[in-house]
Amino acid sequence: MKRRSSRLVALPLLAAALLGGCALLQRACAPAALSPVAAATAAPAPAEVSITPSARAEATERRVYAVTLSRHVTIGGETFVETRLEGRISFLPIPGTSLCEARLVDPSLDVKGGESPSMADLRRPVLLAHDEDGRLEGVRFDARTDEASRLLLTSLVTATQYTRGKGAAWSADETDGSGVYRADYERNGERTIVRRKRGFVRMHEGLTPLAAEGELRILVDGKDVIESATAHERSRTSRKTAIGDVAGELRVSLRLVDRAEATSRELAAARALVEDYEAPRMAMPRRDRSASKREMDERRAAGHDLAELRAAFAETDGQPRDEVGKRRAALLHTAGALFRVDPAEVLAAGRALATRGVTDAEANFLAGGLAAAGTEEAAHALANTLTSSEATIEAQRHAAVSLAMMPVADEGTVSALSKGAASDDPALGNLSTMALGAAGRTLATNGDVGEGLDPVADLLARYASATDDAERDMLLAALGNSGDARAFEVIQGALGSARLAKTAAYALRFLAMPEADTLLHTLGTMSPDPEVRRATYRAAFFRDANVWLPWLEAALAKEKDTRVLEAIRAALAHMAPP
Amino acid sequence: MQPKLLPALALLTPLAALLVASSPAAAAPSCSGPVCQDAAGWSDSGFGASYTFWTGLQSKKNFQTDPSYGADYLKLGAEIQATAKAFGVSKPIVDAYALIYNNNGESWGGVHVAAVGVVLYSASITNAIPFGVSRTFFKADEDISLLGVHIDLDGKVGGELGVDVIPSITSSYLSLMAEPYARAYADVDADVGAACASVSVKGSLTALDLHVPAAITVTYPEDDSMSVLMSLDYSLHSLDGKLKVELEYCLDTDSKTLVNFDGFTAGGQLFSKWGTISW
Repeated sequence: MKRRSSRLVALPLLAAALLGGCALLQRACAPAALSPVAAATAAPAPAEVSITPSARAEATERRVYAVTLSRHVTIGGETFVETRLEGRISFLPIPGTSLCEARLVDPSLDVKGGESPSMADLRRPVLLAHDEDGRLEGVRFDARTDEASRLLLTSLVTATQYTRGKGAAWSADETDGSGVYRADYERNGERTIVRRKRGFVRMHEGLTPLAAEGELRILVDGKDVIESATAHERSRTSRKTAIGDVAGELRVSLRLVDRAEATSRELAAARALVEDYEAPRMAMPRRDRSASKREMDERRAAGHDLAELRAAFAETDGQPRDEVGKRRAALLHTAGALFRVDPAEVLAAGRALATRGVTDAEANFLAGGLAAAGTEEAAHALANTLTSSEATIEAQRHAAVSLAMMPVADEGTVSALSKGAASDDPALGNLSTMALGAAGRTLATNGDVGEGLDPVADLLARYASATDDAERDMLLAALGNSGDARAFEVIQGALGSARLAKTAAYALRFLAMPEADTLLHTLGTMSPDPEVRRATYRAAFFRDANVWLPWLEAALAKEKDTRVLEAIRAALAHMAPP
Repeated sequence: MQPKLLPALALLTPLAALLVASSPAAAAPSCSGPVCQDAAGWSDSGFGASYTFWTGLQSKKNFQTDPSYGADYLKLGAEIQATAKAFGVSKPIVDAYALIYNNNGESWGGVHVAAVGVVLYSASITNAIPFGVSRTFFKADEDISLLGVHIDLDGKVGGELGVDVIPSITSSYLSLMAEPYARAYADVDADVGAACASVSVKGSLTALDLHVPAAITVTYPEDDSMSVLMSLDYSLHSLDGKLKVELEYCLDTDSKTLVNFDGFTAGGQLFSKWGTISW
């Protein structure tokens, strides 16, 4: 292998950097990686391999590898994405840091399916960051780099990442774009190192679990410089999704083609990136899915408008229930998408809902669609219906139900619901009262509870002045929706009433306080009334699984009442890991 | 290049084989005297549903040794609970009942409807109540990142729930016609962030369609007996659907049917009685 610094100097400064054989490169690149990996499980054996580019203090070496990458992803067994990348990748350690600049040179890319990376972004250098143990901890990108390029480069780098260790065999937890996996290393003879990957220890936050296996083979020369590396990896979703199995295969190969002493200009250019580049990361951050969700909404809403959806829903009115439910559900989902995409349609729906002539079926559809939208504008349209003197009572009832089910609450919605709660129509009063409890929980979740905006205080005051158990029972249900700790004392007191105990037990479900768990546990084990025990375990459904799983398992063994057992089993099925 | 979104009206479900493997048998509800109940559930790693229902009449006969239940104790009505699961997330989509009680000379009744844990309506039974709404119950998503390819799936479970109630409470008898019901359907949108490829899932899935109508009239118990007029029915329809994946692969299009499942239906009269019940 020749050493030709002159040709490397001629490389474009911002030539694409590929993270390809990072494994190897990590060591070669990162001075910090020269020390043994503390986390590795050491075994006796050969002396530590040195893959450091150069021992000379000031003579930093750039290494260039020929790289090929092929990727094949299938959905439901059908080819969905095929990617092939060829080119060269150079690695330049940045002295005094744990960073290595990597750049892809003269790449050629063939993508069929999937999002295509920008060639300009692929050519842009990246920085590989290592932790103090020498493990690749993340990739630093220029902020302009598109996501497809980030994902492809990260795949390339992580497929070939290499964590040093001592002895004949060692293990390390490594990270890639999907999660953390256990890497088992083994030396085969003097020149070969093999890394095996078997599944993930954990996925990155929010990602669907994957099953994975792979092998990386590294060949080093007599001076322990990596000559080549080949990685082969297969992954698939470990549970079925709505679109069937998603599976993929990745092959990456690296072959050393050039080594050269880095010039001071190259080093300066690499150092300049350190200040400007983003923080290192391996996984894409919990993705901002707003653009993706918007695209989905636009697709779903395409070709639809409010009038057409209203008419379609109206056609279902009066037809047998079992024949129209699916159609209605789809229409509501579509209306929700339409309202998110086009706020003008929200206003139109709000006006229609508050119109004197709206039919009950239309009110159901309009209020359901606005709830499905889940936006502030939709919530305000519903609130306006509640306060409108033109709106029918059925429209107002539907508006109250929708507000109870929406994650939006503010002064406008609470004020409207308070007016609804004071209605002469008992049903509207009841529905609005329940929704006020739910609004209290939403406000607390959003940190919006403040002076003059405290529906729970109002509910507590109403409970204190209630004159019969029927009213107390209703208010307990509303307070249960709130999950507000201030309701605990009232709920606890109501448990002493045979008439109220069932509602009170269920009202504990959202209270974020250990006392609620203790009280529920006591009720579940001590209450002589099977209806109260059943309400207790229905409430437990919403509690912390770590607390309740052992309690539920114990209750399953002791409980005799069939209906209570059903509630216990339902909570267990919900909490038990899949 | 802009990500391309998949037009997708699709329903949650896994492969046909899994669905078939996990499909429930149409369990026969059990009746013990004038009380009928049932509980069943099914699921795979992607989707699931479960339900319980109770309907009928209980009296002092069911609690003969418990002094808190008076000789005139009655409980009658119907209730259902159902849970749906999408992408590993399970939610109680409905908890609805209409029940009338009589104990130690006092009568009262309650109607309760909750969706996803939020009580929407909770009131004493005084007058006829037709309560029913169509709503989206909950959403769940899958974020798949595999070898640098991202696929987003947004699932929704929506449908209808409610309870129809016609009560009558007099000094000589209790009467209640009650029908709690729930229908839930799953639907999915997909985004693969693709420039020249897309995937969509088209089809439909019925998660659950459960109705438990009850019609019960009963006199207050005297001398360990009472007269009843009672009809308890139910209908259940679950897990049917056809699911087809369409892959748009740059210039080519391919499609494949993943699921074509007939599901099952069950229903009928659980209990029918008129005359005198004694113990």
